[in-house]
Amino acid sequence: MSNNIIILDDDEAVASALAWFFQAAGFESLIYSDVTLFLQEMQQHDPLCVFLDVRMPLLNGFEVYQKIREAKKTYPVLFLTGHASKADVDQFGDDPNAYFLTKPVKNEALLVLLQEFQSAALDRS
Amino acid sequence: MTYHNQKWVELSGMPLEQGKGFGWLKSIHPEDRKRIESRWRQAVSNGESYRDGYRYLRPDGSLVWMVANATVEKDSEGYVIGYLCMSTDVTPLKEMELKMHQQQYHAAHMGRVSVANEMASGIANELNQPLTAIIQQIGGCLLLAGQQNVSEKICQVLRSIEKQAHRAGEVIHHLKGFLRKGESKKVEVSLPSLLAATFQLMRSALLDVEIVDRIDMQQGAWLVFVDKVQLEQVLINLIQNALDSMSGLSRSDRKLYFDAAYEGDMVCLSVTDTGPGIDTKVIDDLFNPFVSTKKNGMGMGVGLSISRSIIEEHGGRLLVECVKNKGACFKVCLLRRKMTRVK
Repeated sequence: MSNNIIILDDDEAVASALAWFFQAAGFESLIYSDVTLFLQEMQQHDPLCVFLDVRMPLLNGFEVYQKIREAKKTYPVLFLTGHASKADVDQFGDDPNAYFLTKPVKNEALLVLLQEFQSAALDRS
Repeated sequence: MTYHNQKWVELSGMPLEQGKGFGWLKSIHPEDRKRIESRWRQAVSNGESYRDGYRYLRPDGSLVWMVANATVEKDSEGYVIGYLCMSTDVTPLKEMELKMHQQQYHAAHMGRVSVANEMASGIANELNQPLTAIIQQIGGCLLLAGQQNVSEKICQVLRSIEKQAHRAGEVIHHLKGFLRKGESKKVEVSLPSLLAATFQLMRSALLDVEIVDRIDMQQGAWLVFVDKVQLEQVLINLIQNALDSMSGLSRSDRKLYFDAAYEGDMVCLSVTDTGPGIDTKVIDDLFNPFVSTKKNGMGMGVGLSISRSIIEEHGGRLLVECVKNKGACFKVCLLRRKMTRVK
């Protein structure tokens, strides 16, 4: 388990802002703006968590999530969305490692989550 | 009138005796009565036949749509001796016509609602991205500032920027939430209490204007059945528009009038300002998205379009009445809520 965070977002400004914030908070991050590239390289990574923009070209965030779980990767996946409908949230109700974050996300909330993920990872190792 | 048959009595709902002379005029709907009376007098004085449509307003409140053919009867020397009037009940036809109108109107309305919805979610998505970027960049700056002994003043400014960005985010959420279908919560509420709540929300903006509340509480409770938050949004929009239109006036000239009237099964609330009024050229476009008469940067021109969608979703109408050089008057008409009986 690494201290790496993967960011999947085709909006460069958002992705690099998140990376900047994570770096300031002491985490390293890797940005993928291309979903297919991420899926190809998915097996190489064992990140702390993955941030997924829900609205992306080719595959949306939910579809990418399915691929991640199909690959038996259980790390936390955080969906970034403009508006999480109840149906969206219910869809992943039984996965404790799926999170919905409404944009714009509060920095404090991000820090709390990252610390949780870190201590959970420490417990496991 | 000297004679009429039993069918007339059934249709008009007026007893035989009362129809005699000019009594029959009283069976006609007040809105049609003057017109029919003058039409009748004109025909008689010219010795002409005539044909016209009108409504009976029956004692039970129901309407009957009629078309009357009044044929002049003359003697062999051409003198008018009387009129023979045949009236036809065209209510079913009229009702069908009205229904078609309503369907067309509804289709146009749904078009507007979906345009407004699309617009709102488009704007929300486009603005959310840069806001997200701003907030996380500031978050990074604040973390680094904490580690590097940066002056407290700079940190304060950063926190303030962060706060403002979140505020903008909330506005966007509100805008999205506001038009989402099927989630409105309607309750029974009186218009004056809705206005009071709106004044409360806008109290700082209303300091510079005189509010003239002319709503007559003796006339009833002015009850409507609405989503309070949405209706407050509409009122805020109308009041803000009025305030903007009066920004060039001196304080003593800025007045906002509130009136209420029952119109049929509708309750109508009017908001009238003392601003320059609205140019008749733009009046037809006023409710279309992105049409604004405000100076650059003052408005996007979406307020009235969203307000109209909200009011129409409530089964009401949002209208503008403009008297030249006398300020603008916006009228919100909502279905009247009959007083619920306490059991």
